[in-house]
Amino acid sequence: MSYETRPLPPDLEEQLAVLRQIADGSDDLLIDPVTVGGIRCAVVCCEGMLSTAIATELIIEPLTAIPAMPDSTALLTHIQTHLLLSFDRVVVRSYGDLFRLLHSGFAILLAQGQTMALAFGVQGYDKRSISEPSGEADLFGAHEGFTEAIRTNMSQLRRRMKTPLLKFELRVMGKLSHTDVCLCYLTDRVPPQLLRRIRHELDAAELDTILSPGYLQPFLERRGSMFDSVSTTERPDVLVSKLLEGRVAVLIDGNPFAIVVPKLLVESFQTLDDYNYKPYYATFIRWVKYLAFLITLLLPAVYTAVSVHHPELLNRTLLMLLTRAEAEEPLSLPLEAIGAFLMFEIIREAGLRLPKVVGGAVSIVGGIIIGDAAVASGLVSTPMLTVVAISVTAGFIVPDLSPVITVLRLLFIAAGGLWGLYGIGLLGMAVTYQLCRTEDFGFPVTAPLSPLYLRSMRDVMTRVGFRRMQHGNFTVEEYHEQDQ
Amino acid sequence: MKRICLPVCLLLFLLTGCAGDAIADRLYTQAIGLSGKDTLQFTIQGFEEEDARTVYADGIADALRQEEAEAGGRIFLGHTELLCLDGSRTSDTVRMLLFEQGLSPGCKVLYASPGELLRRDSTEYVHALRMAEKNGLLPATELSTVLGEWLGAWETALLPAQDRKLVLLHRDGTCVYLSEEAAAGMCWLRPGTGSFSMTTGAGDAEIRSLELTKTMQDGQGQYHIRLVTQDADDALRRTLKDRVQAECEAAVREMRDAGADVIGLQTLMEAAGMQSGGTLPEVAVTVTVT
Amino acid sequence: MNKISNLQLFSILLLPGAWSILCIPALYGGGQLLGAAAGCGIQLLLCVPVFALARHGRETDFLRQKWLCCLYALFFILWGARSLTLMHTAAPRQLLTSPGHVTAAVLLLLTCLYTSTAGLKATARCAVLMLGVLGVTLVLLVVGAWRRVELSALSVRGGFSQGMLTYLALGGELPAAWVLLQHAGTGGCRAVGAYLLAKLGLCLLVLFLCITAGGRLTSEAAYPLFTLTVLSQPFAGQRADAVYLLAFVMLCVMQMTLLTGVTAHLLERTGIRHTAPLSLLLMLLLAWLLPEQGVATLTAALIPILAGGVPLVILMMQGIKRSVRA
Repeated sequence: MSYETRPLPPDLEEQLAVLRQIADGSDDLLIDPVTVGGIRCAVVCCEGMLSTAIATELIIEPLTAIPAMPDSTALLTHIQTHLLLSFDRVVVRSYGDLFRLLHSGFAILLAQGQTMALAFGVQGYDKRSISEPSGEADLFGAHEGFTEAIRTNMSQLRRRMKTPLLKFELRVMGKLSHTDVCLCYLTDRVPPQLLRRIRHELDAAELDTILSPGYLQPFLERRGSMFDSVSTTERPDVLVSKLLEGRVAVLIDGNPFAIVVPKLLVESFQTLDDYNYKPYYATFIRWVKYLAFLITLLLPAVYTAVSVHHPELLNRTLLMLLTRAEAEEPLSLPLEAIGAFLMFEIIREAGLRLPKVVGGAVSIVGGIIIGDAAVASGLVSTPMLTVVAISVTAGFIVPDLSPVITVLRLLFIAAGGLWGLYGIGLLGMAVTYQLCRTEDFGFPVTAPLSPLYLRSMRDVMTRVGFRRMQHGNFTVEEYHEQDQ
Repeated sequence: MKRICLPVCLLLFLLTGCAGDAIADRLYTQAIGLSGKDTLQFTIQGFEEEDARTVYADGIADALRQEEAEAGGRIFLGHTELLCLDGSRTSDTVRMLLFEQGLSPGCKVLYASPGELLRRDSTEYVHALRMAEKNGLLPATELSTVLGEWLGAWETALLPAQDRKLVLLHRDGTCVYLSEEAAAGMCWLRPGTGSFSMTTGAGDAEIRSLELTKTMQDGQGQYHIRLVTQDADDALRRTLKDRVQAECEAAVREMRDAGADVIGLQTLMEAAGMQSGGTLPEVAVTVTVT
Repeated sequence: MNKISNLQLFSILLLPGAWSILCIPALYGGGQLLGAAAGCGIQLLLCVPVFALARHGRETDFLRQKWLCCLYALFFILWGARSLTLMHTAAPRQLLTSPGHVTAAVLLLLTCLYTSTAGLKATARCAVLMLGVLGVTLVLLVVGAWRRVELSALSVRGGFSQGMLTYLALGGELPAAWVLLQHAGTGGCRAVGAYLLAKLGLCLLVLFLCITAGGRLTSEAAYPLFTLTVLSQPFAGQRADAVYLLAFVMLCVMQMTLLTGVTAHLLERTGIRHTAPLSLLLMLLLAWLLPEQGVATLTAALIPILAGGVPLVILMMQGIKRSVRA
């Protein structure tokens, strides 16, 4: 019989023997025999997971003050009905539950003659305090981000949405990790079929462990698409705004990123700061982002295509400038472009993986020395480096789409270099089709552009003021279509 | 497996360098000249080059091949700014250059001997032509306009020549120089869009705008020119009116004498249901100066 | 296939229609505009039987018999073959010098093979997005040609009957509309009507620009719009016709994807498998084997039959059946 479903035997010694057997001599298991109310008991906990002071004050001292009880049943009844001890109290009936709670920072009280145990939540393990999120910078938003503790994250959401309509559904996932996963949604806004399908997909997931959102994302989004149909966020304020639109969030214990289902492409261009600026400026910035997206994706490809295949589109002065710059280059323009972008990706990845102390040096070496040396040695021309720099900088405006942009940019350069604007047009159509077929549980990623919802354009093409938006009552259910 | 093969093949293909001509390997022509009735004399001058190159060939394709062999790179005609013709090669050759060889439709056409002209700096000449058009000293004569006129019923185009003269060049190569007065009249009958100043016997006039309306009534072309001037007194306006009238009438007279239509008469005739080709109808020009 | 909205149906039909308009074969004079309007009127008349079916709440999916499905599929294959041939002949040589005509055709087919497997929903969504691209292209065209416009060229008479026949011969999307109508829900007929009117508007704009801005060069050119793009220059001193290549490619892909999609859908009803690649292959084969003029004539003759004739017969037969039952 698997330990997961093995019930607790009534004899205390046998309970502890099985416990030791399952733990197989793990040194962090602490077993303290104690007599409570005249009944032989044992308190079991996991070293480092609970706060000794809290456990002593809230568990040990009250327990030892219990008067003599006739039997263990009376003892446990007395504890459950007359003593508070901890807000988080669970009745344990199997070793699976016992170990899950033990390793979640609970103290377990086993009693002689009982086939159940009581677990008290006295977690005291060290965890990261709430700090500003590493990505998703916002000028006017809160400087709080999620942490690795799921219950802290839940509390951050609850503080921002004090309505009882905000519901948390906890479940345990991961055959070995028993990770706490929480579905969050607003009961009056979430589309029921979306919730049903998410639950079904999560139930069907058979994973050993869940360490990051990437473990669950494949179960929540459509297969075979380059574009994400679920998003992640580290910010509770952003997550709340998405819950208000009827989306479902998935929190994972041990990871500060929440998964949000479904995702729309236009969200990649929206930030919380947009709603803090005046509408005219927010609209301007939105369009700057759209333009930046097109620039980062297409500028190198169009530059390559026009220079190689359609130089008549270039202004004469610019053409002569490019001709002079490219005259001494050993590589063809497409190869130059691809090489420059690959170099940038290597530097970027290196900077990401290195310790912070060294990371700065990498930036200097990569950006200044290599870039300057590449131009001085004649491997890469200055106009090409300028185009690469503009494209890369524009890409920083939409970090959400960074993986897609990185790959597509290279493909577009190849297509433009090989076949000119014709190749770019064809690849553009293929990418657009790929984007248009991406949907999540019947919610197309291209909504509200396609299918077109004119009412939603007030927050896509422009950003209207809250006086007009306050009467919206918009939810994503409006975008739902029958699945393909 | 298939999904891996395609990108790999693409990359390999790319690495072979089969990505088209490099931008610096082309010769970007600034001016070209066509001459020679039987054997084409094809003269070419690139940007930032002082000298021109001439080859002799049977046709354009051969000429370009020879030029590319001499120049050591592909010839690119998309930025050509000046086309010099001496009349021996006209619409057929120019049409081929425009539609098959990618010649820029906005390049200026000049009636001149290619060999002589292309020894000079074409840049200055192109700028001079453009400025003259802006100042109303020459009518607009881009390649597309000239070609369109050659395809008309009278197969004659208006081309600028050296020293700001104007010439009527027929498709068969015959040409007629317009007098100074007629050339000035052509500028009124084929106006540009800018404003400019001019000196008359009664002083300097600032022309703010020029409006030309054309109609066909009772088999006669009616061209009405309306000039809007800045702060011009009655005397100046009268002088200007008389001068423009005289110049336009001179232009129409010499154009009809040459058997050419370069002022859009054919379109008016077709709209009126008249047969085009043959004798040109009378044209009456009226001028209003405000 | 799945449900699509009216705007999506409109877009799916208009974009291939726009491609046909781009490849309008000749200019005949100012009367051509009136001829095109008359052609549109005839196309609206051809829609009456299907509109009547829809209005009376009857099933508009009349393509149930296998032979009918095969007939319509054959038409779409011929129309696709004609489109491939047009791409080869209409686009100016210098626009496709980069890939070359053969490579361009192969690339186009590979792209269409992918896009046709994406499904109707994806095609419909993509069509709405491409409407924006079409709009930008038209703006660019107008801006580039505006300086050269001479309204007097419009007064030149003639070309009414040629204009009408040419416009009717460009209506290959209408039979496709009947295949898609069943997936559109209520208001699909309005979308089809809107498509016909929008296509007419587009055709009038293109003809207006070609006649007034192109002058003699477009009036004597085969495929005058391509000639106009050569002549119209939004930027001084530069050819900008390569920019139109993007729109040309996108519209061509939409055209081929629509045709492949509806052909595949009809062939599936006959029990044939792998219909999408088969349809594309047949289009390529016919484009290569059959003479261009023959295909154009055949498709032009089939359009009124498939768009209006067959639905009319079905409507009459339904009416006869109802009166017999009564």
